[in-house]
Amino acid sequence: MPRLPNALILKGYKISPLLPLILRGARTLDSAINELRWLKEHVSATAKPSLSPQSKRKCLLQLCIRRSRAEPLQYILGSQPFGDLDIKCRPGILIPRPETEAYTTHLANLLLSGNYDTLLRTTGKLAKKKHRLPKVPSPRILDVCSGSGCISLLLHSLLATRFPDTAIFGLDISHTAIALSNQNLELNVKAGKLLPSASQGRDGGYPQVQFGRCNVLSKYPIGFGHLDIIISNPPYISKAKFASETTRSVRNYEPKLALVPFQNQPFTRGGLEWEPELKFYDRLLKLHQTHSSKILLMEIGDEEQARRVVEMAALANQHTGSNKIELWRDYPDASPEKGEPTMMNIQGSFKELPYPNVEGKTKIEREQIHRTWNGMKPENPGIKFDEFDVPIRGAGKIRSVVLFRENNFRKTEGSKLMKEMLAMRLEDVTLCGAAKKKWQKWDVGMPGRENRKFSTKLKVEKRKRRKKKLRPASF
Amino acid sequence: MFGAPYICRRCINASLRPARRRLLRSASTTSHGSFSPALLSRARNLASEHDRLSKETAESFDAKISRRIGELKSVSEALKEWETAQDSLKELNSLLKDPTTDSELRELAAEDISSTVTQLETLSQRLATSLTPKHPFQDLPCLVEIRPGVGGGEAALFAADLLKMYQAYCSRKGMRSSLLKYETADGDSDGNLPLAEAILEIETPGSYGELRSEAGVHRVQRVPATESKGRTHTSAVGVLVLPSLPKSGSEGQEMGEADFNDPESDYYVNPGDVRTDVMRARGAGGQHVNTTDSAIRLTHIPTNTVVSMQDSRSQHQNRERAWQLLRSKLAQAKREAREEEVVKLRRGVIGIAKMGRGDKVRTYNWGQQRVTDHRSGMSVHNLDDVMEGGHDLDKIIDSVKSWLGDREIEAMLADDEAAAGNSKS
Repeated sequence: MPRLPNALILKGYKISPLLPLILRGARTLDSAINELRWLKEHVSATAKPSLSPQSKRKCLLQLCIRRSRAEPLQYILGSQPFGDLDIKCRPGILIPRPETEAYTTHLANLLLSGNYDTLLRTTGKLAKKKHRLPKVPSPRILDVCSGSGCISLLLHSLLATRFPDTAIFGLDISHTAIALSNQNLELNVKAGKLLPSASQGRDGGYPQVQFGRCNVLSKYPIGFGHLDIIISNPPYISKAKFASETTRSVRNYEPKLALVPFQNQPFTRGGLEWEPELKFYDRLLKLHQTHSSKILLMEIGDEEQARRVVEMAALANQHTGSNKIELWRDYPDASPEKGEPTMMNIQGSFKELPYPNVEGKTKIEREQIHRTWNGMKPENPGIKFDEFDVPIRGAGKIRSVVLFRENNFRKTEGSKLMKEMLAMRLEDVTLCGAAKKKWQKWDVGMPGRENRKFSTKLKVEKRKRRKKKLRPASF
Repeated sequence: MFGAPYICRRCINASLRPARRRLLRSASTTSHGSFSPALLSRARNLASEHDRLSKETAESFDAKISRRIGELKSVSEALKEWETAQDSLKELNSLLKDPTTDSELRELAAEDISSTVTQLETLSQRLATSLTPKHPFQDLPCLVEIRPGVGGGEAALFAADLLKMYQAYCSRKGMRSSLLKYETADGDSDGNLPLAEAILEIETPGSYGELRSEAGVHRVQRVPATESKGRTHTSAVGVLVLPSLPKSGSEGQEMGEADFNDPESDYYVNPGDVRTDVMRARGAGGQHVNTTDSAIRLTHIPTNTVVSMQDSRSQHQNRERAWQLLRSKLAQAKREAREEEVVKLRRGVIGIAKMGRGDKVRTYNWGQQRVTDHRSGMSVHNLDDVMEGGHDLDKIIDSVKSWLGDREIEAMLADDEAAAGNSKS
């Protein structure tokens, strides 16, 4: 981090003696002046009117000192605007980013344009039962790694007027995040920025926006019925980049859990080795395939990662029916600037890992090995695909990978693949936490309760294991 | 003999000299007791049109025609009243002149004449105002943009004072106002912050009509806080008053022309012509950084109009406000261009003082505690009250408004005369 020039500090001091403090956190004079004004507004809005101006000034000074330690302004003020909404922020939960806002809004605009209505309406179940298809689709959306709940809430605020029967589920690993997202839901409904159907449901139905705790890496989430859209801003920063590329305020104050996947080891999938931080994309692609959702939107870190995720998606494409892959930049609705390519070329050649040695293993173990090696392609042995181009939309840095399903694979691939999927699901899947069949009954309101149960369970298991270990020794 | 043994010569001179006449014209004095034939004929034309239209609507109803009738109604009513008053005046005059009338009747007529004359005065005033063309943006809320001009830091300080004055004025008048944009300049921080640019949004409908006379260069003469030797400086601050256009098309429906989805209207801005610039995060962006930059800059490429907004923490809100401002600016520019053409045409007929926003319109003099408006010629000697947005500011604004009305009538007359001249030749 370059040192602040003295001239800049002096210039700031001339405007206000508090600015040098804020400059340490904000780094540029323009943003420091803005931040000082917002801090002042915050103090005058939140301080008790009975406070003397002197103590108000002291309050402001305290906040400025906090900012000088590079604490994010959003944590100091306790909120961040996200689209129309005001999202509450608290240490321990990732602050919503403007890029996230941009692609969420763009996705909502795509859906509102009506071009995707037919895609959203073709649900396998409904088509089978020959129901009359509803005129207006009712998209069911899953937001994986919802954090503060910003994506779910913004989507509801944008979509609910056109699609009154929309349903949005948010999943996160953290109890505090779930509690905060529920608070955000309540606050925004109260402020009139969300329709009341978001928290109360329509005509006595389920609430349209719900949050639940789930560790999607270890437990496979089920129980949503079909899904139309999966959207996710998963942790995607690698350990090395966390140390080198994140700014001080992110590194020191934002939760590492939301930034860096806790997976340490590279994993194999489809006979290839993948970096550990891609684990989430693997899981998201699988969710996309098992729930036969129509659109999958995943935020990614940089161009290199985008390439890897597109390769992963292309591999998955080989047997899940065709998905149209797109890359979106930071501002997908803007026109590309000079020097920004609009296509990314993906080479289809990979170096396959050698098949693991399975001699002397039992049948079950062999299957296990095969599955970890071959996970995403149960049938096809070939993993090479033709070189192809992926369109890149918008301006800025490459920010997300988007998959649009082009045909319903349930129809094309038939029931065989479906059965296989189901088998995988049953084996792989257990519901997280205090698992109940109904999403509705998830224990969301009381953070910590599940944890306690879980820990006692763990203790019992540990005790059992210890006994087992002890027995042979004593015999 | 004298109460005081000595009186200084200056005092004696002052008391002996007749009161010095100010060379300024005092608040609008032009009266409309008698009308120019052109204006009168115009009023008659409008009245006859009103009669014709109302006959038409008696048979079939049309929203457009009935709206036009509503506009003309005030003119025709005022004209009727004025004409009856004029007739009675004529009758009374003839009575007075007639030698056959007896003395009693003559006395009564003389009494009546004075009252009728005063009545005629007010009636003609009313007729004049009804004839004054209604400004098309008059019923809109407005944006007041304040920028320091010549004078450096002192101008910036005075700009902040002016902003306060307008805020106080609005709150006293019960008009809802909010700061859309507030940018401080570099400078010392004690007291009020010097201003680089401020935009005050006044949401009350009709505030554009109230405040449009405020547009122009405001000059200040005082010893600035930044001055160490006690010299008086003169600096200038530009005030721009823009009509604030309704946010959505549905709100603007009742105004007829204010539909900005219609490419023909003044309010239309083609989104393809506007380039949006957003503060881009440095480095990798996304989860790697957390910025508070929410600045938005819009550039209208054909006219090279730039609007930037960074006041709110929400980028979304900044974008909306920037669009609103851009729309207002472009609409104003289009209208000004059209007016400029009309003025050019007029100049061929009659020399009319230029009243563009380049000229100074008002002076605030701290030394004499005086505020003078150069257009109406009104002077007020209660500077503090004006700066607090008090009743004296009202007086000034009203005088300017009536001056503007006179000007518009004059211009209209000139137009009519020109039209008449054209038709003759």
